[in-house]
Amino acid sequence: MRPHKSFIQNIVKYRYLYLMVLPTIVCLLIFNYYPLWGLRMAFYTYYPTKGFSGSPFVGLQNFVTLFNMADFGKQVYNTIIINIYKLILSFPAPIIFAILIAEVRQRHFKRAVQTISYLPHFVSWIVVNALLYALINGNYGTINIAMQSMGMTPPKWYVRPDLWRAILIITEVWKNVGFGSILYLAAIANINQEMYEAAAIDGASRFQQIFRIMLPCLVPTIIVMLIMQMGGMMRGNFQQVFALVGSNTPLYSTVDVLDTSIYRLGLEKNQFSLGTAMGIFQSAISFVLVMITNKIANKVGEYGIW
Amino acid sequence: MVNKAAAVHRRKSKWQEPIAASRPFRVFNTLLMILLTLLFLIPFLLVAIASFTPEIEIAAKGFQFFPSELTLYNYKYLFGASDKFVRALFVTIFLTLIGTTNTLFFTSLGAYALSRKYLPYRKGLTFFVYLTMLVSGGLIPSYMVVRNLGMVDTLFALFVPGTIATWNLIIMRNSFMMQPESLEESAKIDGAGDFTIFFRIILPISKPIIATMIVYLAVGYWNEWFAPMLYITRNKDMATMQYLLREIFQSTSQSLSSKQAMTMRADQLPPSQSVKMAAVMVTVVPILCVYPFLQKYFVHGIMIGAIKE
Repeated sequence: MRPHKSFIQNIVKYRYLYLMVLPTIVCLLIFNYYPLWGLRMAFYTYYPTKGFSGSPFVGLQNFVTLFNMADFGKQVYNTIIINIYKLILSFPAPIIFAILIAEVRQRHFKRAVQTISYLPHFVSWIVVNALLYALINGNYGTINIAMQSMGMTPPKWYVRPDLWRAILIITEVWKNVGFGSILYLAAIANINQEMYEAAAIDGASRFQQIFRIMLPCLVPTIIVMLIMQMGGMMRGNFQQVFALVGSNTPLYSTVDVLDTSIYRLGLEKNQFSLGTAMGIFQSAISFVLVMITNKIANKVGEYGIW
Repeated sequence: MVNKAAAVHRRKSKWQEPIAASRPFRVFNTLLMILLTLLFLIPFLLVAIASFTPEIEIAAKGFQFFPSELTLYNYKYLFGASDKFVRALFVTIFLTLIGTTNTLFFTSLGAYALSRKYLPYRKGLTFFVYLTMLVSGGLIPSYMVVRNLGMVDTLFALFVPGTIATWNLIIMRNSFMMQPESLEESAKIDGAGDFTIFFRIILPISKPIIATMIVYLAVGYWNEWFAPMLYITRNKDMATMQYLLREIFQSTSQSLSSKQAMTMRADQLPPSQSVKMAAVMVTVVPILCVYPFLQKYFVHGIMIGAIKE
């Protein structure tokens, strides 16, 4: 048995390794753990110039104010409804894409398709906004011009809130379908080929093989991704909404989400406490959702993350 | 023996040609893939062509795939009319270099220490790192920390808070843990210290994961627009390309809020359509050129990231 060492002895003995991990500890303490302490703001009426000692403690008052805010219900609804659409439409997209790509037999063609499909993942939402602008801008957008030349009247995209949930979902699928498929493709590559062969001998068609062998083998990966997705149901895609919609208020009624609202509260209106309270509300719901999904996944068949 | 080898060979040749779907499906699938590829590419193609199209033609006929004339004028204008974009390009390159180096250096050091199985308190420290992925203070408290440190309107605000990339640290740690321990032991017998072992032995044999990290981090810093927007408030000399891009598209594609419109000065007025497109290309082309060659690395990274402890 290893003789028991005291804390100091351990630190001295492994000092170089601890020196290596020291910057990590310091940085995480400052930039990740210290902000957690700042969450107290939600229970004060916080004035940055006066600090906590000069700001009155108000208990849960900020949460009450929050739930009574005119736009709060709308923002919660938008966040959830957009995420439900994304769960139904953009979550399965990489899975379907991976299965279809796996069916391509020409190696070079397959590789080319994959490489090109990753491209949108590597540009920022700001660039996506620019690409969208080239397509649907009122005066110059290619889609608008094409519609006009066919005798149609193009919609005034940037003032039509009814179109933007769809635009958010389409751009999300476009940006992430390729890159998201990598994980599933790896899972497909790990499936033992002999299973297909055995099924083929029993007369299973390729479609049957996909639905009876490939999909069931993907289920564990899908469930892990699903649990992570569920945890995000109360979070909007800030970068996407902020880049594509930004300060375009006419669109807020359908696409303004909690995250963009937090940004505006905290950094435009100086309502630090309200914004922080909203963030805590989000985190609490997310935590509960992850726990519930994980529990269900474990009940169904030991699929949970923990 | 021969039979066995033949059997293995047979199976191998079968592996390369798994059972294929019916012909109509394969034709349909190929066509679908071509269609999807076009959908991924067309927006970029459109912007690329528009960036070479004379402004007059865009004003008359909008953005189009087959302009009657091509010109380099838009790029000359972009970099010649004011030094705004030249400076932003340099800031972006500088930020990408320094941010990637800084994060890679400190994150990999921490990852290495936490990958040593004999290190006391390793479990607790790893949990300390891991926990930051589960709970976060969120936008406003994090912003306050950076502000209180006096980093607002300095370049430090753009890369210092990201010095430790938690997710990358965990991935690198997993990767270092898979290296054979014998290498380290023999080096220790030769009297090498921990830093020597890390820089001389572990790093050189970990090229794939380091390359993966460089790809992730460099793309992240190159695409960064939110941090500059938050922290660079007065000193616009530190604007990045993405930041400018946001500004020029925000101001026209979307209605200006009255506050923004009032504070806009003449030199901030949106440039013409074609020049805007040239600006998009300048931010996209470097990534476009680099990422296909690094593909195997980021695929590698996703695989290692998927491994649970």
